[in-house]
Amino acid sequence: MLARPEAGTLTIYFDGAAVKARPGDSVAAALVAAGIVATRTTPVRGTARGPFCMMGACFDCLAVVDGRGGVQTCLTQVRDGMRIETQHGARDLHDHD
Amino acid sequence: MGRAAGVGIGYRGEGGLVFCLGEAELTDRTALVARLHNQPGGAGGVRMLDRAALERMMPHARLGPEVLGASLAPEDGHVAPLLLLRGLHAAFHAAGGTHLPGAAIDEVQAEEGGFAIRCDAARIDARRVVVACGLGTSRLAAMLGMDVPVHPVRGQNIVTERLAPMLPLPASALRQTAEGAIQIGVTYEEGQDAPVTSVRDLARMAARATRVLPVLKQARMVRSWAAVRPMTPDGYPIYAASTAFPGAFAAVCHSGVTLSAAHRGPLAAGILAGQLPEAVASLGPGRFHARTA
Amino acid sequence: MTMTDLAIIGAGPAGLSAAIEARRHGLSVLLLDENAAPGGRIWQAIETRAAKDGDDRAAQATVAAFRASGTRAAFGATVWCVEPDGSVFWSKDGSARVERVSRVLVATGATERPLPIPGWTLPGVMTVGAAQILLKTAGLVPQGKVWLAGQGPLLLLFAAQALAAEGRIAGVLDLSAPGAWRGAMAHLGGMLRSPSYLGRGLLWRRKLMKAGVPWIRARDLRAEGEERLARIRFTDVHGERAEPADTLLLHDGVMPSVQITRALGMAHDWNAAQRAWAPRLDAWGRTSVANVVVAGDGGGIGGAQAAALSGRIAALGIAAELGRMTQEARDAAAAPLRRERAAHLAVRPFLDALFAPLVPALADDTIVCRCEEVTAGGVRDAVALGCLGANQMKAFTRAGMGPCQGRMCGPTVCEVIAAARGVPVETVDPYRLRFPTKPLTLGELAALHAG
Repeated sequence: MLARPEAGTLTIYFDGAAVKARPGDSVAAALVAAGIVATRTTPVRGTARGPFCMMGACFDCLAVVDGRGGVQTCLTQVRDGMRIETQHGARDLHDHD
Repeated sequence: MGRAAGVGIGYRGEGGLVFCLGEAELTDRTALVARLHNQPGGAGGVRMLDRAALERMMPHARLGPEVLGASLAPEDGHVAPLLLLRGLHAAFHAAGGTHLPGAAIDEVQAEEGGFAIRCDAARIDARRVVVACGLGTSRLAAMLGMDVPVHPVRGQNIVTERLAPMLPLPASALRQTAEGAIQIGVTYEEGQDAPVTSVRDLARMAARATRVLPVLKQARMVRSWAAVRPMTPDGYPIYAASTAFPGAFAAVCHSGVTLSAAHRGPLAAGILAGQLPEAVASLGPGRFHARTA
Repeated sequence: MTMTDLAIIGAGPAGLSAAIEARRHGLSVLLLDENAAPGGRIWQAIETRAAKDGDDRAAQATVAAFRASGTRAAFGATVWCVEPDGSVFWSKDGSARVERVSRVLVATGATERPLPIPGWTLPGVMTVGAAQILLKTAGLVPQGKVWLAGQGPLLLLFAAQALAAEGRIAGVLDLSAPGAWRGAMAHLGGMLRSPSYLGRGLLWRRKLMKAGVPWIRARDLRAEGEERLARIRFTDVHGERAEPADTLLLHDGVMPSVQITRALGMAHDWNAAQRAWAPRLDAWGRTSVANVVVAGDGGGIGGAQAAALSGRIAALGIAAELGRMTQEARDAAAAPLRRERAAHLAVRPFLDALFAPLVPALADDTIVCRCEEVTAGGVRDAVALGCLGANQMKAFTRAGMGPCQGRMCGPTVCEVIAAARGVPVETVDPYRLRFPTKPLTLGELAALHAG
């Protein structure tokens, strides 16, 4: 695992479960710190994927963030109370209505 | 074809729409549909749909307030063009055809009993030749006594990320592919032969698409592409048979996907028999040449 | 309102140095970078972390000079299009902007070469670059069953950084071909002009040895697991082995990032030693597209020091073009920078040979296009059907059509096609790239219509 001694003071939620995060973390970093390495399943074959490049180039770290799908979690800063959900397959534009 | 190639081509023939934004578009489109009905051969069942009918047809798509209706052409449909391409290649191979990709043709000449094609210092002999090179058709057709005018017309497209299904029918300039991406088009730029896109054109297409489906404002475009259509002077296909060199033909159109079934059937049969079928008699290049008094 | 003189895309060593130099000569400068703070990749988070050595201190000094330079800068700004008339389009905070400038400097640096192995799409497999970002920006350190695999200076550097942060690495799999040392020795003379590069590499190796991190020469690496990485399998000198793993970090060197330069349609040349394409540049970084200049690793891998010097040289060229200095003054200012840069670039042939790209033979079931889940076998099937190049491969297999726009698969697809056709890889048509080079919403794009 990639780990750190101090978990952080913010709380975000992944699929409903509380995850600690530090201010300035990307969502992907906070998830990886908590041992969560999968954030979506692919539209093509439904296989699990998660952060790979951490720099916005691979588009594998997509998740639904505060109701919005297709968000690159490695380029999104955490916010206290943020809700992240696994994105299953293709994004549904009507999710956040 | 799907069976022959062993691959589905995503054909859906449930109809095609042209959305009308605002009163003026609705009036114009309604008048056009009426004129089509008045023509010999009819309009193939094309009819106007009002907004209520559209909403019933598309329960997962919330139409923008300016969408007052659309025309529906029931015989229309779409395929997955890339799967069609793949299928055509595979079917051609399966039928025993030889494909030589990357061959630059230097010359094609009529010879004793047929034709000689010279490419990359090699020579290929054939009894019949069909020149179907898109924008390159004019050059080679001329070598075989056919005057086939073709010029470039660029089209630009936007492709979004894959999305859950929401558009059940293809619309003019707005359709959802089998993979879920929404494809938005299209420009029609006469004489432009560089396959590049411009933000001004892309923004205009995006603006219209988001007026039809405002929820698309949240959708991300993941790429644009541009292609160059081989366009004839009147937009209709040209099917030519050489009178100077019988056995040489040319075929060019900008809707090869749409016309693929027709090409595979009657057109191919005619070429094998040595003459074009009656069905395409009015589509020869002679229609562009000055008429004698 | 007068047009801004220069837009710089990228706030790494090249972009920052160019900004400072351009401002020194009175140019108006707009700097755009998608990260939250300056530094790019190699100097990421440099303002907020403690300097560990002379390089770090020099980097901090550069960033401080940039902050004081009066450059107009937008961070969190993702550039997605540059048009030939000098219009630069970017998005920030969900809205798209455009600004037309006289000159554009593309300083977008390098990107990691993809290293596909069977199972590399499993969650838990990442790049070494990713782990370095996590270390620098989130303080995450390898613990437990973390393996590194591949080759290249960045792999060594990260391993040393991880150990310095009290991390634990289960092992390093060296996938390089045996005998790379021999090829590199032919260029020893160049290396000796800047021996610190080699010295550092040896130092990092020694640190790993002293920490007892296994360094294993290996091949045929596979990542395995159900929904995430559970173990790795590889062959070493003793035979096949499997090891439990929860994290696998891959690296096969870096290559110029050519997304923007390709979309602009400029001429590129093949660098055989680095096995990568780079834009064709003149002595001032000018490209075949008028008013567009390139500096830094994006013009050819040369490292941070060379990048900073290239940025300054490019800025001098632009300053003279825009009449802010004479050509004589420009040449006089550039001369010492060129000499200094030459010393850094002299070591490249040695490093390029020592750290030659892997070019692995891929099993048919290895995914090459992650976005569309296309395998090497799928690419080979298309070649058998007559597909000649990567751009055509898009139509045959959808490879390259996903949101990453070929960043993760372009080089691999070309290599697989080249091997299947039996032609040199540089003769295979690469993907045709177009703007936007990063996604933006249709709403952002639509808002640009009719003002």
